[in-house]
Amino acid sequence: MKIKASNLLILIAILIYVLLKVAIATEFISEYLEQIILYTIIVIVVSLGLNLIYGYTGQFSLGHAAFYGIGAYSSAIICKILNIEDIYHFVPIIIISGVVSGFVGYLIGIPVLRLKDDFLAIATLGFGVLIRVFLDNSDRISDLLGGSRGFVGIPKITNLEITFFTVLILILLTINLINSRYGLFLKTIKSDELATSSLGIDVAKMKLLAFVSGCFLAGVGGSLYAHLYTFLHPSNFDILKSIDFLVIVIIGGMGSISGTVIASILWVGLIEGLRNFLPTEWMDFRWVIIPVLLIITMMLKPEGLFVKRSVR
Amino acid sequence: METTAYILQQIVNGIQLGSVYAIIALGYTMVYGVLRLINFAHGDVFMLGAFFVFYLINKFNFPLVTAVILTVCGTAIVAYLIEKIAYKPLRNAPKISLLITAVGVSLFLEYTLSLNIFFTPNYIAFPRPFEVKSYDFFVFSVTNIHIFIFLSTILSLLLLYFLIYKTKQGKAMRAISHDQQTAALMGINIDNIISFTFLIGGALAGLGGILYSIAYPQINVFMGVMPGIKSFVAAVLGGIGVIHGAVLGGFIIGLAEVFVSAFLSSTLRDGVIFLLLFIFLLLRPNGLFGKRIEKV
Amino acid sequence: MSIILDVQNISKNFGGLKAVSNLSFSVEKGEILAIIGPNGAGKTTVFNLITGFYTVDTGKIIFNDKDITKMHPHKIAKLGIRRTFQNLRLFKNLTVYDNIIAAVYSEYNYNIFSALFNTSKKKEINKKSEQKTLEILEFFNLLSKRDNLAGALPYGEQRRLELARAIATEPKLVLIDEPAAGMNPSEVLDFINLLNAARKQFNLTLLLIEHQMKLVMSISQRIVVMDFGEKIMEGIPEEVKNDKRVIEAYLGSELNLEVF
Repeated sequence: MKIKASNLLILIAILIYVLLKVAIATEFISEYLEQIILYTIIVIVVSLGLNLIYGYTGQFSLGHAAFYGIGAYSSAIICKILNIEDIYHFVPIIIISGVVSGFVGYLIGIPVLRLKDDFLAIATLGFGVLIRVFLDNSDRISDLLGGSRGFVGIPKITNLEITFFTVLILILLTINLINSRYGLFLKTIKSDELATSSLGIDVAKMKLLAFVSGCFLAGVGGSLYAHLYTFLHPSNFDILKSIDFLVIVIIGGMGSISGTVIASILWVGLIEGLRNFLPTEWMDFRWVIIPVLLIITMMLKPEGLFVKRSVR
Repeated sequence: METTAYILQQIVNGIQLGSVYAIIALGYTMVYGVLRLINFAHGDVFMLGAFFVFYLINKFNFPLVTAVILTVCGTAIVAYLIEKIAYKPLRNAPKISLLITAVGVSLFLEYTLSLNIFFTPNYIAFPRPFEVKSYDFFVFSVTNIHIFIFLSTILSLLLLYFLIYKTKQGKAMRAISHDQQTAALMGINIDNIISFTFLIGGALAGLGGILYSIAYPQINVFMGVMPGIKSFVAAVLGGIGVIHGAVLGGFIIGLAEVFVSAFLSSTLRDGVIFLLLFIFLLLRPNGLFGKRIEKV
Repeated sequence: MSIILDVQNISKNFGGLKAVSNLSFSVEKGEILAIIGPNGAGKTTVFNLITGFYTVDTGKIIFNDKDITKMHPHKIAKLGIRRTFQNLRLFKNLTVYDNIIAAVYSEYNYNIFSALFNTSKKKEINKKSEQKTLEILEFFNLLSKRDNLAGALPYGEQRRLELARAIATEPKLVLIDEPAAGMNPSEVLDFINLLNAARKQFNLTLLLIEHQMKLVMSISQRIVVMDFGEKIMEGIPEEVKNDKRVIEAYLGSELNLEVF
């Protein structure tokens, strides 16, 4: 039963890819729209990472965007240093960027995942601030990094194929992980860490697994992003960005992969849609609406808008 | 260059900044002690304190003392309302929901007020309602502002101490902090005591806002974000839930920030605070005065 | 008979309060040993010390000749000690099936690579785990409820589920904390039968905390009596029933003496 569903998913995905490819080739979709679509796919993979960490395993991280940024900057630096401008050499860099983010996630995770809820929130928020400060001052290390001026001149390598299929593969791997014994342990950890421990499961190791995987996904997303928009600025990776991803995971449904996908699409669609139809002052208004939405969701459907009610 | 005078002067500045952080941290640690909640909106109540007092003095020409009293009452009420509207409905919800709501309240306050129809996101200069007097001590100088802020903090600490350890309400607060269910069974009105805690916390935040804007006379809708987070770090450093810990933590953070700013670079000062936080979380998660809590 | 668990002189203080004081006892393989005592005697603390959730201040705990005194809870569990909890710690928003298979998976392993790439090893282990889970569910009469959420079960069935989860991997030693709490006399009777059947079927050694004297007296082979953190008496049910110190310790509690 499970195998069939995966195959169906792959089939649908390939269909979507073909549709998109045709639409772009025939210029039915503008370049601008193409960029938005690619950005949406990137948002999906990063949000998926946070969903692993928070939605499934219950670890409240307010610093996810920092790992997104680490992946982005790593990818940009490596490509600049190795003079990579073509797609074939880019593929391993995407993975490497993910690994860098994952590794930093590992180092941070070991101490920080010991903490519970509120303290974990502050610790991850703090880490996000640290990374922001680091990026803002990065021109002290290398002028290339640009500091608070931003990192310019990144080669544009990201295209539909690489984005779509990288993310598709990662989604499939994530589904496999969730449907394995490890995925079940993540769920039990979210439900009751102590009881999970009493079954002989190394809770710390599992939490780290989820965290590192989530950071890896964020790093991959960051790499794809860097070579799509070709310009990086530290403010793209701050607490507000982390909250963006958090909102997507919460509203889309914690512990629901399809929910994350849908919510990401809606989210980017909404923001971009509004950007085109509303004058700029109204764009800031979204940060008045979003918190209200968040609060209402917490009060009415804390597990997410697209998910069944669970037992308290 | 870096002479002893310079160092001593920075210590004075650090104590001033630390005093403000200490007052804010007191509010955090109190609410955390009673509700086990990081009130992310606390920093924004601090911001409102600065704005209230600014408008009362500069737009409505209230005398200083009246403006201060009105402001402190105003922020107390705002904190009370936040609790009643946003936190109380979620009192029995999982902790995360409350946290997210707190973040939501904070963002909502900041961004609503930053709209052009309200205060805009710009900085507004704050002309001080009194003269700054400077007193020279050997090689450094202390202004009346330094003294006023420091004394306010110490006074707040003492008053809070008296409140928590010598009054009935304080006893109730401590009871709830230990065991909310049992406290309720003992006849303590949980809702009232929690509201009371937020009133005090809001007043403290407001006071902090007043002091901060007197010391650094520029207000801005987002001014509460960093001080809010740093003050929480201060509360954690000192041992969350412990009052004198919050004050000591505040001074440590204030001094650290001023010293890094003076001797390294001002752009690094936010980073050092969180480095400190990480170190403490790793080595002494219960803070300097915190108690060890067993898991089960 | 071989000794499976040896508790040697353990003590635990909580900031001045002596929860457990110089406690020693041992459990023999295959037996049912009960720990009884008035509320606050320190019984659950002993469980928490054995399973590693608290650390002893002094003393040693030896399990199957291995010193587990300073071990992490999950390592101790992996050695073959499982437990239930006084206040029930089910995975409430997971199904009955998932609650059990989570326990089973702790023993039936496959690595991350297998998990990510759906290898034949993963499929093989999944099948094995499913089989085992269904066996357990059937034995504990929960098969018909396999897809219900654990938190939605009636109380008695939740208790049964937690027991099933603890026994699912046929552990060497099972610690059961007040399994009959909140049950009426007929439910207690059913439970006694279930416990006996499980013990026979899965070759279990049981360490039991219980207040309900009927359950304790009918099922235990030996009893350790605690009061104020100390062991005040140890022996077979007959001896314990008539011991002066035991009766004294229970006077004044809600315990009904005529149940003795």
